[in-house]
Amino acid sequence: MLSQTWNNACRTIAAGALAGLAVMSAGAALAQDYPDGPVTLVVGFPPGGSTDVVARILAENMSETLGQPVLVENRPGASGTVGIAYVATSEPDGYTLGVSGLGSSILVAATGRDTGYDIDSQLDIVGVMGTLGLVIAGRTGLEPQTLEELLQYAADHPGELTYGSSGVGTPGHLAMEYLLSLADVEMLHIPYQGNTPLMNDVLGGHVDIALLTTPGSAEQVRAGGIYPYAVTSPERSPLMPEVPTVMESGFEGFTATLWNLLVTPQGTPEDVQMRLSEALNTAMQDADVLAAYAEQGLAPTITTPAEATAFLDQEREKWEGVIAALGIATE
Amino acid sequence: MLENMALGFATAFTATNLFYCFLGVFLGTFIGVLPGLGSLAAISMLLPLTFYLEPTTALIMLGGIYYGGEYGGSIASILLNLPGTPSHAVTCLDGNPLAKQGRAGVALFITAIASFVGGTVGIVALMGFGPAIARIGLSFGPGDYFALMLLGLVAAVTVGGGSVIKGLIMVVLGLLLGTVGTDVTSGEFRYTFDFLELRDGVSLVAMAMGLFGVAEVISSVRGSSERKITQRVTLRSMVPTRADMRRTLKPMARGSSIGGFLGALPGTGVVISAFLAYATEIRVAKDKSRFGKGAIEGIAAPESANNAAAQTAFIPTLTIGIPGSATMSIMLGALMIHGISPGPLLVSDHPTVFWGLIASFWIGNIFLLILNVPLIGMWVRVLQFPYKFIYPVVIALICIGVFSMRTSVFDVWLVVIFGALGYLLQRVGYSPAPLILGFVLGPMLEENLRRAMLMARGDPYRLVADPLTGTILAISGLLVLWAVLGGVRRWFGARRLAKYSVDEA
Repeated sequence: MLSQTWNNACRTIAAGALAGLAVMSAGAALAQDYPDGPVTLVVGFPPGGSTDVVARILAENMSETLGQPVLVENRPGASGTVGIAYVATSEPDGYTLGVSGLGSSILVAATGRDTGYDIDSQLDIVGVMGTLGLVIAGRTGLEPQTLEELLQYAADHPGELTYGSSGVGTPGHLAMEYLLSLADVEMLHIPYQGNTPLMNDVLGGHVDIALLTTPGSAEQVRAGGIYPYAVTSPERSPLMPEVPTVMESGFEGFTATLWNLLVTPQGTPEDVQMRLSEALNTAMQDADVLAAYAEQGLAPTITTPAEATAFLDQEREKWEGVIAALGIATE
Repeated sequence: MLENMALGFATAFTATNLFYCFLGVFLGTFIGVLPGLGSLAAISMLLPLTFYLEPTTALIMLGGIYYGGEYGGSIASILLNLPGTPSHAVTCLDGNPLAKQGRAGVALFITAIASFVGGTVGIVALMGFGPAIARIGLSFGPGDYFALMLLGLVAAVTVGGGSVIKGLIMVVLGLLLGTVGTDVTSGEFRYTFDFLELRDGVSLVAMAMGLFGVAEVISSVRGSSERKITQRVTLRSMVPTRADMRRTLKPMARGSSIGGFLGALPGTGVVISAFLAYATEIRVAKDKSRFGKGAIEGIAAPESANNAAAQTAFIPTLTIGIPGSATMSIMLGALMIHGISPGPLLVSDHPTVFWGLIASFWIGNIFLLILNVPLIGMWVRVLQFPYKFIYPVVIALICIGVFSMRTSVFDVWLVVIFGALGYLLQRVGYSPAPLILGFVLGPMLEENLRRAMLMARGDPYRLVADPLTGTILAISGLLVLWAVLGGVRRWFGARRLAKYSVDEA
């Protein structure tokens, strides 16, 4: 009883303090002075990874637009959720931003795992930072030459083919299970810890099929170490224009793309968000950024915060549907 | 080949590249000396700076930091019993006793030579047989990795140098700690206690720095009055005796081969190389009791191994585009940012990058030898500072280093916890070295075994029937048998001896 009263008192004080802070920070962050110091862009993956590269390409251009350095800070861990959890609990003043991918925005939560935050109530979505397709690639020496033939082969030889993904509940795993369920065939899933060992095993012929990112595999495709069957993006990838999409291969409406969202802690002043949105969209039209994006196989996107939020909802609906249909949730 | 090397040296010998090569190896040595700050942290911090450099120059500098760190890490291990990086934890085992015997100079000299030998072997392998080694690496499937890790684990039990039982206990504790995190096969969380930070497992750097670094500081503070190092390391004191030299030749050769081979396999890396090289030395030594008390082989082998591995780690990274470690991923990231896609065609598409980098490795290793041998006095000057200044700095550096790895305060707490554990272990006479090896090998062992069993559709016969896997497993079996037989023979021998002496009495 006593502790309850005490708890309530604590809460009231805490709420008051938080409200006070919010007022102060809102006051300090008027759009005309924003930003008057360095802006931190939190990436939930280690330096050198694909998310980090995207963040650094954009950060450089946004620094010019905003007139203040945008510093990439890596807080890797738990599919990117460690970094986003940090952003979610940061001051909503526009000085701590995050790059949230498919995993930390949707998949981790949708497969029944705690992320440490609720994206709808704790984060604001500023914009989409480009999209990226996956490629369904096979080891060399496999008989089938097209995706149709591959799925036919799997149907004729049930349980013979194996496919690897970069982990349970990752986009590659879910996209492939989804495709297999549409085609009504089975392959044995071999989960890997990230792309590196997966690439090793498909090149070495230890696993038959691998779901890989297009930039991570374009060079291996070019060198003939792996055979690309199809890309999962709605359009063909500029990195491997001769490879058909899954849709072209007879699965109308099938797309699976990776993307990143620029997020801020919820409660970031609207004018600050607009400023960030403009800077992001300016970057998306810059020639250098577009060139770097093309090299990385990324499709640029221009979105308002509202459009980006709608995009998130739409993607979530799709992936939650897939996860529910396949019964993949871990708990 | 000659043409390629000429191209490489032409690239590496420009004033800019020489400067950045020197800068890289110098920074690497410096960061290696500082406990806690590893090359991974340094490279991630410096990555943004390299955007403004030519890609080859950027890689030359980052590469220099990487292998320079392997040189530098041994200095604090020998002098202060504080490993600069996890792979140097093993160098402490015999390096520090040598220093306590007043032979720090010899230990540092041998380390520098062993590092140079290892580095050279690694570069030769990279240059001459890079693509071939990379292909061998690819042919290693999950079953083979499992067998290899098991072999490592069997060897690991001997690393502690002392009692096999204590070694086993530590290995098992390491294996248990290695199960913390996300289970790769099912995606379930194990022992994460609702900490997001534990989902990727316990940080190796935090663990190694706590167990070795913090623990050493605590025990030194406790006994600081009795421990004073007055010795000066002069060039003269660094000259090893002829016996020292004779004793280190074979360990260097063995260490370089082990490191060169393991470094080229993606995922194994410098830590495992150093530990296994050490374990091998104990295995082949006639008098095992010298280890842990200042055996010169005990520093020569692991130091040549980790440097060889640091060089051959570039084999899969550059020739097939598969980064073997987190540090190597950053290197590839640096290339990607410059618009160079790493992959099997890198060598033919961008020969200046590849051969320039290799040429810079030669230059860098020579710089390192120069930095390490005559300038050792400079590093050793650290010793002349009173401990009351050194230790707070060391603790601060460990915390900064560990924090900067993942920008994580959580990991700093881990250092504190492992520091306490390490001190406790030290007090009760357990060596944390096998624990680290168990921790590194365990998750790889489990992951690869389960993957191999998945691929074999749950049939263990199919796993063992693979010629490579079967052979490696058989070697492990023989090792175990050897150890058991040796134990039994010693036991009987001891009994016979006891009986004999009883009779005589």
